[in-house]
Amino acid sequence: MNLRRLTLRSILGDPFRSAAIFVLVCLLTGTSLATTLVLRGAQDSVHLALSRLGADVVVVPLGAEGRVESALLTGMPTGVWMPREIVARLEQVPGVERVSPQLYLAQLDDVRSDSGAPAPLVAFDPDSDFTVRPWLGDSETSGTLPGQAIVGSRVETSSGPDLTVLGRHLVLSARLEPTGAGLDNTVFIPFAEAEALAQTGRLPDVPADAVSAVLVKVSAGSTPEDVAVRIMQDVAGVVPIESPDLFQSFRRQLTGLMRGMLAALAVTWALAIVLVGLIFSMIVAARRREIGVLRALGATRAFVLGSLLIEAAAIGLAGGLAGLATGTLITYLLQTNIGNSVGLPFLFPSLAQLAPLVAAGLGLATFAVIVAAGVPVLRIGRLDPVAAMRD
Amino acid sequence: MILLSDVSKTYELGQDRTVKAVADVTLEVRDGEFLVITGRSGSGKTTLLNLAAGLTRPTSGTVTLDGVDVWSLTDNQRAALRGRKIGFAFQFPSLLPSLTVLENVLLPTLFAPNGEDDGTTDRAMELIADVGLSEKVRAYPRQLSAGQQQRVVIARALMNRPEVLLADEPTSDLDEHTETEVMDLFRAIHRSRGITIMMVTHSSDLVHYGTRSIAMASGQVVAERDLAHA
Repeated sequence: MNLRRLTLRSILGDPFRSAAIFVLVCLLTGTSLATTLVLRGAQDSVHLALSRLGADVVVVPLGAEGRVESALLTGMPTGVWMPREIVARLEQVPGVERVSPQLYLAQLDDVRSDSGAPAPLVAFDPDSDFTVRPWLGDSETSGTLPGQAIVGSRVETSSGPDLTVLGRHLVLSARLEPTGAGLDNTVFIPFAEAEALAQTGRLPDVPADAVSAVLVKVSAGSTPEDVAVRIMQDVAGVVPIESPDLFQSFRRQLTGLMRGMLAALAVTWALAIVLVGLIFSMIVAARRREIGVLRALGATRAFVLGSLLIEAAAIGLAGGLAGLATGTLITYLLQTNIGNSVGLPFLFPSLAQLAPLVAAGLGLATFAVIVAAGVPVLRIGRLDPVAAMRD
Repeated sequence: MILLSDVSKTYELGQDRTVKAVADVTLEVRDGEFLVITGRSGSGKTTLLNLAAGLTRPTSGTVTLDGVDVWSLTDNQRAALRGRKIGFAFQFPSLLPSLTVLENVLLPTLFAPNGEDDGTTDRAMELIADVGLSEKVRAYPRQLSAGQQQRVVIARALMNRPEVLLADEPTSDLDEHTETEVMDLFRAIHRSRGITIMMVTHSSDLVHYGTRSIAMASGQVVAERDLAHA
């Protein structure tokens, strides 16, 4: 007989109440972790999209700011264009090092992402591009010729090396690394291929020589803010968005979501602590006489308190482990659906990012159950053996 | 030897109401004797037993066990003293329902200074055999009759080789036949091990098992009989 066995037998000896605490902690930690993963995943993918975007300033048609942000993040077409000659004018703006246009063309019914959503079709300029091909890894020269296409990591291409886009057969020349952003679902074609598609009449809404956005890289010695001001002064009909200001609506949405979820989780945890405390009060009340017997047989007050708190911690730890494992698994399996339903890109965290979250979740679950059990346990611990044994 | 000197125990019932369960009792329980305490319900006999065991603090007076004032010790020292020197058999079912018979008997070793060693399980098995329950070693209390449960309680009480065995109405829930079996077991333990037994009962029919008896009423000892030489 030892303390570990006594604790285990006590847990199994009251299966209903132990299971109630286990399930409660499991649900709570699972929900908390899943929520944290979704919010953090969305936040990380926005940061990643920003860091890998490579552009210091994005120039868009006046009035199309929100739609272009959406296009950058989720790949949705904007339906708003500006003349391509803007590119040449932007190159002349002092402080601009590189410019590269993009054209958000359409959503493809015949090419879909792994979530089943139509894949956006985006034209880019391979000669000036500095935002798409960095995601290609070693094959940076791919996708530069008419008849070629580059696809995001989640675009379904089960039919083989060829891709049929708007009825045209394209050679799938490369696949981007996962980004967690709209790029993952996108089909990229060079401008030359977009022109060929337009000539077939399959892109009726896109004007000739139009671009949706121009990505600008600022030269050393200039700041994005200065360049943005100069663009506003020198080029009419466009809006320059500095990179740090991109995705502001998504960030605000994320911040609001995080605050709301944090408040909801805090309230839920508080309620759960009260509930676990009540269940543990029932456990202690049911075992009151048993505790008195243990004291009579020679158990110290510290032993009784310790064994009850270890019991609480063990249930909390087990419930936390199960909840964290379930939360992680469900989030992993449903990551595509989560991204679609929340309307934000979602990048599942790496093991290194996940480990501290799991450790914190376990610690929180165990601590919360110990705190909840503490009050009834301390109350029974103060009684002398005779008082504890009395009904 | 247990010595209670001018011991009283008063319970607060609230609203300035009190009840004196034990009133100025002086009692010496000598080594090796089998003391039977009788009395009606509410006479204070169980409280006297709890006082002798150091389970409840007297309102006044002193309780000494082998010359040590029990209430001059710290709570931990008192717990260790109980674990080392006193075995208990309670009136109510006191086996832990989640433990097997063997585990229940082994329970006191969890609190003993030396804990469990290689011979502990063998000793527990011997004690279980002594009370006639060898075939029930792996059974749970719910699978035992009331008499069998009380036998396990007695085996558990003897596990740490106590000097004193305190029994509070150990046969109150048993039928007459089982009561006789359990009382015979107490007598056998007393005779074979020379252990001091202090037993509370409301049944005067059981007095003859002891070597001495006292009768209590209104918290006081009202009669005493030496049965060893009767």
